[in-house]
Amino acid sequence: MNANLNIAPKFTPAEFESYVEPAAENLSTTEHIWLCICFPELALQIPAREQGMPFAVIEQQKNRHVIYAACNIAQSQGITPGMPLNAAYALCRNLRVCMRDATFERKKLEQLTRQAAHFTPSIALQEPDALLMEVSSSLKLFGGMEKLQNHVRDTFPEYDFSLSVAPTPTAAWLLAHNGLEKTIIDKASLKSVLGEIALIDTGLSMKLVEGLSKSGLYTLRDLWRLPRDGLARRFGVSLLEFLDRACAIQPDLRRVFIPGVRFKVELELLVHSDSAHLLLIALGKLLEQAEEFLRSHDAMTDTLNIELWHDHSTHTPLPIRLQKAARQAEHFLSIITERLDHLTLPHTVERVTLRIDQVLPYAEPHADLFDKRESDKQDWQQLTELIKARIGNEKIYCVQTIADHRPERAWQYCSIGKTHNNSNTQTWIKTLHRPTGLLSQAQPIAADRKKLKFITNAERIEGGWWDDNDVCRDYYVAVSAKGSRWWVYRDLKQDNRWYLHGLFT
Amino acid sequence: MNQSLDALIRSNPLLWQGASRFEPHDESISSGFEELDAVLPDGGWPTGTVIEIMVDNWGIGELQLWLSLMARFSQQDKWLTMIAPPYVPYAPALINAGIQLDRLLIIDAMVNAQDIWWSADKILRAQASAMVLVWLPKPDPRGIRRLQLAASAGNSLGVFFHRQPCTGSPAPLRLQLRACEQGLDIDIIKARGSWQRHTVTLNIQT
Repeated sequence: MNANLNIAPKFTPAEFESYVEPAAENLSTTEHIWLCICFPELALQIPAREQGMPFAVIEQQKNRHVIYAACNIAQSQGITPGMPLNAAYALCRNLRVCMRDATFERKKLEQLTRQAAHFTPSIALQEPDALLMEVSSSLKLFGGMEKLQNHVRDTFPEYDFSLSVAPTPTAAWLLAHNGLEKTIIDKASLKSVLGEIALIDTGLSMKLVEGLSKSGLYTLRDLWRLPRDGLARRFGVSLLEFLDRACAIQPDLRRVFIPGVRFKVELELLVHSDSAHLLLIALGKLLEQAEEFLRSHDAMTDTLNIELWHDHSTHTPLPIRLQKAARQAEHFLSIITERLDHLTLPHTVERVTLRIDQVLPYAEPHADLFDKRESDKQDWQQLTELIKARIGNEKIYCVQTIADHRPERAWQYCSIGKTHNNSNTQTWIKTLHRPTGLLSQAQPIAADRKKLKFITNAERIEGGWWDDNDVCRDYYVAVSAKGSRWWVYRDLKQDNRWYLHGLFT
Repeated sequence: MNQSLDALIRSNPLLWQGASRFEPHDESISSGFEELDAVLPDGGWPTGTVIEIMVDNWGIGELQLWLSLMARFSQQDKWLTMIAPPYVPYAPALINAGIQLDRLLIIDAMVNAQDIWWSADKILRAQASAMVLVWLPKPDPRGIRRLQLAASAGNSLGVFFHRQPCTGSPAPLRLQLRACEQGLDIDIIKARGSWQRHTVTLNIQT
């Protein structure tokens, strides 16, 4: 007790009280209650499965295939998990087997969290086949533990599962995994309830379980009878920690699963059509749903995946990417309108799907009553996106300077809002006389050369061996016969000929 | 006679009505050239309108006329747009003129001429944009009329450059530029609110 009091300052007052007076603790709302649902047949829920036939899922174990899970029909013929595949075939000739697919199971489990999310936001996955839900704060809403359990049972009608409740996630899982449908609220009774569970069914490693069985230890109760220090010395601290977590002696922390937010809707067109007008009406409906979805998730998105289906197998994709995430259906629709104008469809469209794979947390545009600049900025961004959608991404840009002495390399395209202001370059540029218009490709001016009137002396631009674009040119400003001011050069490196490179517009 | 004349004026928006309907502009922006401001009816460039610049060939200094104004706008955090320039707007020279490059949007020449009119219209209407410079492949009175409406809606300035003579252009200000010994000859062909035809010579150092 003294030792505990020494570390007391680390506790908050409430925790400290409950720690020193365990007898006085009630089932308060701060106590966690974990509900575990275990789906033992999850691995069997493969879509390609033939109904009414004995079916099993197998996995590779040290060069041989063993049964991982078997359906009821197969089990009634004597097939059990862990059995070698050839032994299973000996028992049941027409057994259908399928390789285990762990990613499929994980996906399935993630799908189940959606239904589970009706009851609590704190859900943890216990792979491969169980969900852990922290329900202490949901009891009041659902009218008590019994009613809550009934609700949960009604939520998964298409699955076989076992459900149990315990104060720690490990204990809840141990119960559900072993098909013990019990509701334990009191921590003190955990040991006696869990005691009968065989060690082989606790999820501990096979090697450890074998080692324990050699010492004559088969159930959890056997372990609880042993002195702690000896157990830790002989079988490792991790075993002791596992036992402590199950009995709420040590904290049992779980990572809360946050489901990825996705959205998909589709609309069958009543009239198969390729008219942009009808498509826009259909898309408008889908976009309204999308906006509602985004609003309800307090989210926005910068990518919409639209697919225009011509029949079951062919479709025209229409991906929409925005420079800045948004959620207004109206804004999306205006961009899609422009895109549709430039889209040629090979056939009529019979179905439209809209998918949002990734959402971003919504950020309110900074609105100041007296500052119009921010809202102008929003409008401007939406406008540039609209123009991009119509004329193409690469045709709308900004320009920036680069520190390079060769005129054609002293500038660069850049995307809107990404202009880099290099002040060093700018002071250097100030000393130069440069034309406002540059030809993208210098033009030879052999014939016009004689009519030119030179008005400046030569400016030598030379060098560039380091990137294989060595130049040696003499630049002049000259007035052409028609009065234009040209920036011309004589190529001293290659052919001594004259070229027009820019216009002083 | 009078009635039919009235009917004609009402029905044909392309008919320029000179000073009879002229309302003096509240605002104007200095062009940055004193000689030019002196002859422009508003004492500078009018705002919320379009200006047509006619040249015989590119490169006589047609952009020099606008650089100081562009620099001023960009420093006030307003956007400038160049649509379909026939050459690459050369970043080092624009920096030298004082233009903030992060406020300069460039839209490349488009295959479809309709897109030029469309994007100019959209940008002229935008509040964030102060000035749009458009190089028109073919001046079209109807299109210019549309952009004139857009410019007055967005209170921005549209400047059109082209090399072909255009009859019946509804632009309120039309200038013909010619290169000369001293720099640039500006012939004010048409200016709303002024009957006189002025010619100014600007000494533009290029």
